[in-house]
Amino acid sequence: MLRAALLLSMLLVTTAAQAEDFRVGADLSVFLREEAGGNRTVLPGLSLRGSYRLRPSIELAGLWMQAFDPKGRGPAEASSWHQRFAARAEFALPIRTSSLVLAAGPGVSLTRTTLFGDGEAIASTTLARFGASGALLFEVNLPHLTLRTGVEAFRAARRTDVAVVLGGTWPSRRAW
Amino acid sequence: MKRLFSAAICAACVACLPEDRSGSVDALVYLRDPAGTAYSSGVAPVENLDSLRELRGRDIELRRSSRIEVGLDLAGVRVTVDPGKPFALEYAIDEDGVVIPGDRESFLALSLYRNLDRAASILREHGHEPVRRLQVYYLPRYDNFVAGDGRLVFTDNAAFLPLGRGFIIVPSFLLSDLPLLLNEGVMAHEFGHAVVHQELFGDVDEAPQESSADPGWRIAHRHLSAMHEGVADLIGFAVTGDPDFIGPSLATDRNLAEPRSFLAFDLSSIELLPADALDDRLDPHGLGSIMARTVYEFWPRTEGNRLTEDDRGRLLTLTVRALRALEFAPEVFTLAAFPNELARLLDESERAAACEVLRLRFAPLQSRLTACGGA
Repeated sequence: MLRAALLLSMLLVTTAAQAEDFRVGADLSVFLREEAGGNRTVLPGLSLRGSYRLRPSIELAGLWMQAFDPKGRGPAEASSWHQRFAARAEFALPIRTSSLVLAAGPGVSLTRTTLFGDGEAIASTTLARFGASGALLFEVNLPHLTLRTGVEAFRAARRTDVAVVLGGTWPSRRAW
Repeated sequence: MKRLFSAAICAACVACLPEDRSGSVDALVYLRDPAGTAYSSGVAPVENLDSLRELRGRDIELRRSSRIEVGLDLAGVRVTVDPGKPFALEYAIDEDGVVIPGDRESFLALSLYRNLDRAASILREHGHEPVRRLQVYYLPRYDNFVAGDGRLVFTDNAAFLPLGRGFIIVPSFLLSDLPLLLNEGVMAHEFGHAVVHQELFGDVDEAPQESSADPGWRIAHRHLSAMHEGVADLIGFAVTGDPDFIGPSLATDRNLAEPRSFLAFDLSSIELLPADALDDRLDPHGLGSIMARTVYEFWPRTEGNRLTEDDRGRLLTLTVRALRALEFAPEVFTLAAFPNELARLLDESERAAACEVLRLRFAPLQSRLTACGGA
């Protein structure tokens, strides 16, 4: 529901502004989830984003990141689907054809976990936590694509999840 | 303004956490079937909590992001412990008020807390009162001055750390059966080490003369290491009723129901010191197991051939009393000291049968069996 609302709002705003001001993107990530015990679980992740350029160096962005932790092979295991939603302001410091980007804003983490005992699913929980999202990224501007890499962080409920991302963004409606 | 903003963010984060609980809660954990040896998931009480969210209770407290550092200075090997931060359990509470862990680590940690708390409660019922709450260093960073970051090397294990007044729990990578931290008997065994340490030496960082180069003290400590393992095995058995409590986790030769004798070779392995103290390869587990098997063999049974819950309870009570009566000193303390003291605490008719087993199983140390008349 939250994802649908986010995408719809972006679509409505898109119709009212210039194509180049709206960008969409995707990242692959290494998601380092901080567990209850302070250790980190390393998971592959995927994120999608949409952004609106307010000024050359300021963008408003919405982000959806997800990572799946599959059930292991022991007698007491769990599988978890982690999702992170963030709405944030991104400030770019141009360096020739590149940019250093600092992002910050509120977010929501959503984790759905299924507990297994002896191979059988025994219980599920869905936990939502409000928090803060931030990022430090390096972007390289190419003619129709901006490549980006960096570190994302999400802080909520005494945990800080970190992701190392690599991806790109492009205009949502190309004026080619 | 900045502080207000930070406070608002923190309040929002905390506001959507479930309420913290204390006292006793029903929770979904991984537990042993009391009637047998099988493990499965089920709802059981988790008790004596001060804080469910931080998994802190009367006798046990889990810690996260802790660090154990083994270094070397002029005085020798130095171990420092950074206790880290309070645990951060993820959970939800269902419509029946049952606590459901919110992820795998929380599931394991909640079960671990329950196992240790149960062992502590049972030992309290039989005369052992912990002087302080014990810390559980959950998946600590483990730095060794020789091996470096040991987190990928030190796995599939659990250990009592007297200096840190607590336990180290490390990840389970290799064992495909029951992880050690979910094994009620293994956790009772680890708690047993805390019982032995406190009842023998009190609330201290280490046993007396632990770093001594004196051959007499070094041999006494080797006997002590073996005794520690044997008594811990007995406590693991007494808490679970399963003489092979390690079996669900690890195929190993530690079944108390299979008798074993302490031979001259075993005594030599303890009392012949290696030239280099750092090259000490004594494994106290097998030797301690011999002692534990001997006690299992001679312990009085009220019903046929099996040890009932009452028999095991009496074993725990007399174990605590025997530990308090022991004297730890060179030339005096051996692996036979503990079973000898146990035999002394038995009734006269029971002692005769116990001594018969002790003389058979501990022949090389027969002169130390003063409760049985010595040599």
